[in-house]
Amino acid sequence: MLKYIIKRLLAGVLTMVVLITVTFFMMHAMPGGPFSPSEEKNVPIEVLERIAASYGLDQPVWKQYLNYWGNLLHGDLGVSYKTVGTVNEKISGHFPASARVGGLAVIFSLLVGIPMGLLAAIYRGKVADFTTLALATIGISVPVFVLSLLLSYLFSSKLNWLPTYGLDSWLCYILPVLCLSFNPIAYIARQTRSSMLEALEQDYVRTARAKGVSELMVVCKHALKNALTPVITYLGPLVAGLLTGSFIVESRFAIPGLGYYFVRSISDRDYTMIMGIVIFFGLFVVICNLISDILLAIVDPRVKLTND
Amino acid sequence: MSKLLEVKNLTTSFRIGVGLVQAVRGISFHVDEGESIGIVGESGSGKSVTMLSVMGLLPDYADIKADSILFNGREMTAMNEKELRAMHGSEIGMIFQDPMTSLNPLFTVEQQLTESLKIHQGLKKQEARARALELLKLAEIPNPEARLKQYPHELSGGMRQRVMIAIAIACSPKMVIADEPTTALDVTIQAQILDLLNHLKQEMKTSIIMITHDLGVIASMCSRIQVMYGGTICEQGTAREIFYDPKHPYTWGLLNSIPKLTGDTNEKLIPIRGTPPDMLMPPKGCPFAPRCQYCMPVCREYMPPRTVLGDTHAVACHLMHPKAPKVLRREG
Repeated sequence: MLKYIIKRLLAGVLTMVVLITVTFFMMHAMPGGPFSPSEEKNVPIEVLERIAASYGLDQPVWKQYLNYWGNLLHGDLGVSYKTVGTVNEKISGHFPASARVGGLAVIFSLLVGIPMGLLAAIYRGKVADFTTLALATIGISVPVFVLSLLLSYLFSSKLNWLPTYGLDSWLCYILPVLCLSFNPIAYIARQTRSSMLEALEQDYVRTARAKGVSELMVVCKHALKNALTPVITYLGPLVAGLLTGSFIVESRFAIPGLGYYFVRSISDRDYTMIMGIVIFFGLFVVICNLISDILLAIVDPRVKLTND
Repeated sequence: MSKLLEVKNLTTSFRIGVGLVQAVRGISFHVDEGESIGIVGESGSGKSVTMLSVMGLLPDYADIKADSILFNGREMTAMNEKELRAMHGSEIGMIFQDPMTSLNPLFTVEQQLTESLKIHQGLKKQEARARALELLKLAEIPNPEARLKQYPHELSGGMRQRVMIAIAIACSPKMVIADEPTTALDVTIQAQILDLLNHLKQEMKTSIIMITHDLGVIASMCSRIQVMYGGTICEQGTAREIFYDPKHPYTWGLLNSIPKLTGDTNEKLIPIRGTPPDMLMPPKGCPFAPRCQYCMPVCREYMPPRTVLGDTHAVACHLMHPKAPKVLRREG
């Protein structure tokens, strides 16, 4: 187990090195830069060049790359070019808001998605099944920006029940969490339904019934545990994706989260911010995937962690 | 001996998209206490469905009708789901064909073995574990303490089937239904499993219903045999009657397709040609007629009546009619 985790972490480090390198050079390959004349039209070129030089942007790219690594290995993600403060401060300042909304969305998706899929499988071909399938199809096909607009129009503008922006009270969380979890709910419900249908057909379910196990336990213990393994695999990317924030939801509801800053940093050409957030997201994905794999191995003893 | 299980006129059909599959068509049989019977037939003859119908373990698109299913003096057709469930695992145990898929891969042997003990006998964890150890020893599983903690994928096929047997006999049931218990195992393991079942039958005085397509499996175990074809019983009798005085051409065919160990290396096995009937549209006459060498015009038109040949022996074949031509069985 420990050997496996170390191996996976080493593989994760390799992933990160590739990620950092590719992002760094792609970012620099784009025409223009944070202090190019096209970005800042009202500042004289000489001034812009002075500013760029003070950040070391006049050096060749390979040298900048090595410098970046030097700082990174000291845990320093650099100073934001376009906003006040260091990148480290930005991430630690804005991540909690994203994580709170995202964390709630993960919990909400699981609490709604799994029972929905379960009911659809048990009442296959009945109303519960069709309702779930219809909702799941809508959930997967409606884009989140349409949904967020519709929801805030309905609940904020028309009914005036929920606030449209900020995170000042618990009411503010409802709409963003709903928007974030809509798609995952659809996915989890569909996945649970199909794997549950498969599990209920299995011989071991018949064995459980032949032992006199009650229908509830047959479904919730024998079948569900088997049906949840694909959901656990999906959990890694889901948690990583939701906790790090969504640009659309965060800008729609004016949540001071990381997702919003990420997209802004790209349009701003804020090199250090882009790199910092990419590294943070990358680490998060690597760790969440590792955790979901370990979780899977705990649930399913057939999954061997020692093999690669 | 008193009758433990008596089934009268059982009919099971499955509603599927294109119609009604008549898997079992009005069969009656009984099992005495402590007796072993064998149900033989090829795939699709309705032998497994018969027993799953008796247990009430078929999916809800199955239509089960019976005049009566008496188990231990109680009418099972009148039972609700809860009463049936109380019998499953406690009074009737079941062993299934494929031990690879019949055990839940995500639970340990102990969890699966103690489950019915906890449900039916209300045993606590420690008592259940002690009983589970006993059961594994009964099922002749070496190193039982270690096995309890293992998962099914860590056991061999034969071991898993032994665990299945231990589960089936956990609550000392009056009857064990073994649905092709040796089909998925290789020959040496088959013999061991059959020995074990035989041994348990004598030790625990359990009735066993052995479902198989292999007459050889039954020969050593069962006192009575019924041969099924096309959802009906075509011949039933004691093992001696079926093996030495078979009357139905289908039984002849089955016997001719078993290799004999008489040392005759030139022995030819005679297969039964053709395929079983389509139970979506079963033939109106004898289901075996299209494949029968002795088929007469009447066979295709009318279902043969059950002819009783003795206390135990009965056969459903038009050849039994007094005016039918006398035919001799072609020995293989």
